[in-house]
Amino acid sequence: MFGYILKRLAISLATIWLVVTITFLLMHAIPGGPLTREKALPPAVLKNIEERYHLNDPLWKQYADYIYNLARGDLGPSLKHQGVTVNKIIAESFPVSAQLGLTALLIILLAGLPAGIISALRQNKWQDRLAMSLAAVGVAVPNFVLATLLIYIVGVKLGWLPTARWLSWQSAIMPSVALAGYYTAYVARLTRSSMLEVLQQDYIRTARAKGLPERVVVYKHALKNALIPIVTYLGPVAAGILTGSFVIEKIFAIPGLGEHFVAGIWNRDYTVILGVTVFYATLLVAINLIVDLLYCFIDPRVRLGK
Amino acid sequence: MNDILAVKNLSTSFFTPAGEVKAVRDVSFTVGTGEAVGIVGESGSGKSLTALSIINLLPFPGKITGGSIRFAGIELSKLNEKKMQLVRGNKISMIFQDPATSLNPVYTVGNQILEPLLRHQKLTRAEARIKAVEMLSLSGIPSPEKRFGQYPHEFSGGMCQRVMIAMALCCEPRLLIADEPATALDAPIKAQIMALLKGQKEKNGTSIILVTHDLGMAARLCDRIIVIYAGSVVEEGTTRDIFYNPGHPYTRGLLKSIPKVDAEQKERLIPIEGQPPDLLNIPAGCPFYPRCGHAMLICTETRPPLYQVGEQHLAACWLLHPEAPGAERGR
Amino acid sequence: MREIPKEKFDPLPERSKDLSGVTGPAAAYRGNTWRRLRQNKMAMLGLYTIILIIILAVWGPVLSPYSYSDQHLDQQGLGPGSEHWFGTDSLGRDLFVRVLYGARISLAVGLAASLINLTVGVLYGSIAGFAGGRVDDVMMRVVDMLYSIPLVLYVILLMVVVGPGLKSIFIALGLVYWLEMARVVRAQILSLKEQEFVIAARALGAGRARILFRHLLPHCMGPIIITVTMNIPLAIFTEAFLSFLGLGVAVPMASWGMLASDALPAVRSHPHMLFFPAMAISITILAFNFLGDGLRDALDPRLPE
Repeated sequence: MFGYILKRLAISLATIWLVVTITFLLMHAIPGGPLTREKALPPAVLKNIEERYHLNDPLWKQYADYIYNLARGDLGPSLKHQGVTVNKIIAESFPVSAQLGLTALLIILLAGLPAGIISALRQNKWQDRLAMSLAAVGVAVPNFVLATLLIYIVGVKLGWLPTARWLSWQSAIMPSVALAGYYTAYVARLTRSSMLEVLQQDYIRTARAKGLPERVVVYKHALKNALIPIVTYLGPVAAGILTGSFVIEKIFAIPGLGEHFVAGIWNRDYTVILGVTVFYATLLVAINLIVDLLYCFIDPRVRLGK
Repeated sequence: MNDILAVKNLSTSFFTPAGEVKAVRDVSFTVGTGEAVGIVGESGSGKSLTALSIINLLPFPGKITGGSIRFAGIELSKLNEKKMQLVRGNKISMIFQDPATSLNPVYTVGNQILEPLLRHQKLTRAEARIKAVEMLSLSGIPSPEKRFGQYPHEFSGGMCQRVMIAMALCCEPRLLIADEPATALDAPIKAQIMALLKGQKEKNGTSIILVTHDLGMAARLCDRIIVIYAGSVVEEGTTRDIFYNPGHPYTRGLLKSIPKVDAEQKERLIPIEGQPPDLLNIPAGCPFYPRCGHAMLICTETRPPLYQVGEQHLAACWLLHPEAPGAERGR
Repeated sequence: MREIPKEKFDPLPERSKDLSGVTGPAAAYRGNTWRRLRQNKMAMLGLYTIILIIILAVWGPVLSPYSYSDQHLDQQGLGPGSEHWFGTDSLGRDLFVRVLYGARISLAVGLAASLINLTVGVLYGSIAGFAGGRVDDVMMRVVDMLYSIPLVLYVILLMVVVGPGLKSIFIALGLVYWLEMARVVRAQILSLKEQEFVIAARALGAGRARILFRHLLPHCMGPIIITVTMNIPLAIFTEAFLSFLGLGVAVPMASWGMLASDALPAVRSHPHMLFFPAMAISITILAFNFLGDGLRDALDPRLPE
């Protein structure tokens, strides 16, 4: 098991490095550099800024500096917001995004998994057909469409929930649901097909032949095996929640990291863009690593290195 | 001899979108206490389904459509699922063909053996564990204590089957059904597994039903053999009867097509021509007639009844009717 | 036992032993893929919907007297009516035409991105699968690493670098979403590589490239088609997503995402502005999903149960 973890760790670090390098190169590939879109600044000010941010250094030096700072956890200052570092922006806005994301994850698991299991157990009966029809629509409706629909129906017409900001637990409901929608539907389908496949396996027949009650056969023997592909899918789920947050935070005016990232893109605030990208990449790589470890726990064949 | 199991006129069908597939048609046989009975037939002959019908473990969309299954005085076909669960793994156990996939990969072997013990017997966990380890040992697994905590993928195919057998026997069932238990294993392991089963029969008086396509294997273990073709019993008798005096052309065909150790060098293996019938549309008459060298007009019209050939020996063939031409009954 | 006439025991004449009547018709599961697809109602519904969308996108705008950019400031924010079938937006532009134009953009994006995905993905995957060994290892490691990062992130970054506009979207999507195709093609090639017809071709002196293109790739067509069909809704979604964020096509072009974004501030008073683009996006993606699922079922025959 140790070898497995070590290998995954090494790949994770390599991935982060790859991301940093690619993003760095992309940022510096932007024609003209970070300051040219501004309305013309007096040359003195321009020179000042360039020196302060080392923008005239050769590329490799900028790169080396950046990596060095990165290793110390310093993501640099924001180019557009004077006196504010990227670290600070992340520290202030990420917790909000994290809350949103975790709530969405909770919804995905608490709604998607049972839906899939019930569908599998009542295959082709009305529960199955209903759940899978909803799921088919769920994977076709993009999150921002779902968000705007929810705002209209629940927020405007029915007036039940607030439609903006991140104030009370009520304001968390619609954004989380909108963010979770697609993945809940996908997880429901995945769980269903996984359960159905597992229930065909020989060891389920053995379990029944031992006289075990159906409840035990399904929830002890089948479920654990069926969860394996779902755990694998959690990586993409995390990535999707992350990118989904860009639109959801914008729509609901939630002051999260996604909102700052999009703002940074609009403002061409390159340190922010670069810094947040690196942060996101590291976060996702860490989540994937955790998912791999989870996998280890569930499946002994992986744990013991088959 | 006391019969532990009496199956009468059992019929099982699969209700598929294409129609009703009559997989088991009017099958009757008995199994005595401490007796090993072999159910022999080709793939698709309905032998496995007959066995599965006994403990009602039929895959969807199969259903028992008729007949009676009496086990130790209880009518099994009338039991609801809950009551059936008390019988499975407990009074009647079953082991299957592919041992490696028949064990749940995410739980230890010990965990899986404990399940029937804890469910069917009033033992504490500690007592059950001792019994489980003992069963592993009796099934020929070395270092059973250590193996108890291991996972199925750490066992070889033969070892897995021993685990399955231990699991099946731990509650001391009166009847063990073995569906091709050694088919997926290498030759030397085959012999070991069969010896294990034989020992169980002799020591503990467990009755065994061996479902197989391998006549040789059946001969090694079984006292009596039932030959099934296209869902019906075509012949039954003691092992001696079947091998030395087969009464049905199909049985004779089977015997001719397997190599024999004492055969002369130039003896050919003669396969039976043709294919088994489509169970969706079984024609009237004897199901074997298209492949039978002795088919007569009556064979295409009516199913032959079972005729007495010897003391415990029956065969369903019109050739045994007194009016039939003196067809050779020998080899 | 009832009496049976003696004639019944006459041996059967050879001809009567007709085996075919007894063994039944051979399972016809190796039938036509197209036929199987045709039987799948949802998939066909998806296909017809897509065809309808294509027709509307290409010829629809011709039917309308309005252009997508004409602003009629006296007709702002109208609901659906006989003049404007989908109503107008806040600048008085006819929504019906704008939605149709949005269809053009979405379909163009779907097509272009898929073509690029196809080319890059098939090439990468087939080289990796065919070469095998270390080359394959390294190539797939790279794919794995890239896979663990959300690709939308990269699309966004690329859009920043390349600048807004339709062409940029094509490039960005194409460059980023080929990973799935590469994996699928590689898996197919790996499983086909060891088959006998490859050995036979080699024995006949076929060069490696020839084997790859003439023998192996044709057998990959099934999974490739399925992957392309499933990639198109992803591309459409990403384009809408980008446009929604303001990173897509430029004003006044009318992408569905942009229409939805424009509709957002006015959703209380003019919900129709949101409704039509939202329906358009959802129905299109749904149609492609159904078609993709149907293709997958049709190309992967299982024996009828």
